[in-house]
Amino acid sequence: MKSLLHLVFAALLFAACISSESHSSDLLRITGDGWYMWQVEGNDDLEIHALIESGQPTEFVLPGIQCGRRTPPDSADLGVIAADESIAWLQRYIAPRSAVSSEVMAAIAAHATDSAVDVLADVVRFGHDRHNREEALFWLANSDSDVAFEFIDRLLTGSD
Amino acid sequence: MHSRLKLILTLMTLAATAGSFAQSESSQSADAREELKLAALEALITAPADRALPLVTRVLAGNNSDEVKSRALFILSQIDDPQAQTQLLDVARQSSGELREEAIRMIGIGGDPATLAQLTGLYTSGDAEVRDAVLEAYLIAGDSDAIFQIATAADNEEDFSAAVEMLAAMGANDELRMLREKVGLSESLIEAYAISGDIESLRALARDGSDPEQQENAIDGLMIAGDDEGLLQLYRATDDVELKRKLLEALSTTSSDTLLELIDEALADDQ
Repeated sequence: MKSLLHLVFAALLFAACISSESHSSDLLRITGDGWYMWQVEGNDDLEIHALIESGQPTEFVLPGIQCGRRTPPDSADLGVIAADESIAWLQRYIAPRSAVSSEVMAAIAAHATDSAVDVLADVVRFGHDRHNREEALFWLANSDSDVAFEFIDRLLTGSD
Repeated sequence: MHSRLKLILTLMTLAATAGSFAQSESSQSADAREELKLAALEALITAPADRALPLVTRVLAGNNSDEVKSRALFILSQIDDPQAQTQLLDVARQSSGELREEAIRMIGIGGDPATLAQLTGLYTSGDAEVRDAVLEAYLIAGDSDAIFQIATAADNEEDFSAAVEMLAAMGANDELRMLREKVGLSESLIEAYAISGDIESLRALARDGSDPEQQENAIDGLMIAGDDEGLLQLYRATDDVELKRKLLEALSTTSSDTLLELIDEALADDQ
């Protein structure tokens, strides 16, 4: 029964994966290499600049919240993007662990939404890379989210 | 053909995913949960105090390993909140064994003066392990005055030596000199002068021949401190053959060329 449930869950995941894949290529209307920027809806401080090289993000600049405020690069403006959409695009680059995984998780955490917490919690729960899991925990612990701290509480009390 | 390929791929993916779930289930072992708890606690170090404190409290009250609770104690020591200090003290007073000593050390790491002051009572009522942990806590906090008070109040040589060793490790020369005035000189105090590198006190003691044993201890101290210059001065200043022999022995253990220079001088005088 348990295996069957796993199988059903895996099928659902797979289906979600296929639908996400078909949508993700144009998720943010990123069409080629170079710098792109978008403003996250509902969060005036969160403007994300991403450098795309060979179709992959290799660098992020978050001018509103980054320490030592960098001058924003001259980026192609993607306009205002819904937080969930922005997070969905970013989360694809958390794993496998790469040079941008840390920046991606920081950017996700900066969204400060329940969806951001869910994504980071999933990294902790299901991630395979220790650094990713530890960094996701760091961002959860540094959020001001009740959901995040309830999640950490469950980890600590062994009920998750 | 395309849909068949898709079906095969789907089945392969399902099989792989099911396998990974099975693995994930087995990885939910006690060790994995323990690691996750440790990582979660570490993450709390930068969390706001009002968020971290309730979670750490639950960990300490729960059925967790000493390692997890020790990590929780460390987080407590880093939380800037009087409640965190109170909790550390509670664990130090009410727990037993390694956890109790860890709580005491964490009070040292936290360095809160009011909480550190409470350790004196624990020292007085505690066993040897507690007393060692309290001294360590004061060492960590750099509170040489508290250790000085413990040394002056010590009613046995063992406790006095332990406190004096800590002062020596801290390089607390002033406190060690004050101890001599307050409780008198002892072998452990002379050793402490050597460890803390208080050459001035050692030289004065080594020059004083009124107590040969004390003088010998001071010469040993100069040797430990590597003060070949002081040993050489004494050698040249004394006519006591026995003392000269001891000083030569001491000089022979230092790494400098002083002894060779002395031999050269002696040879030159003979010629």
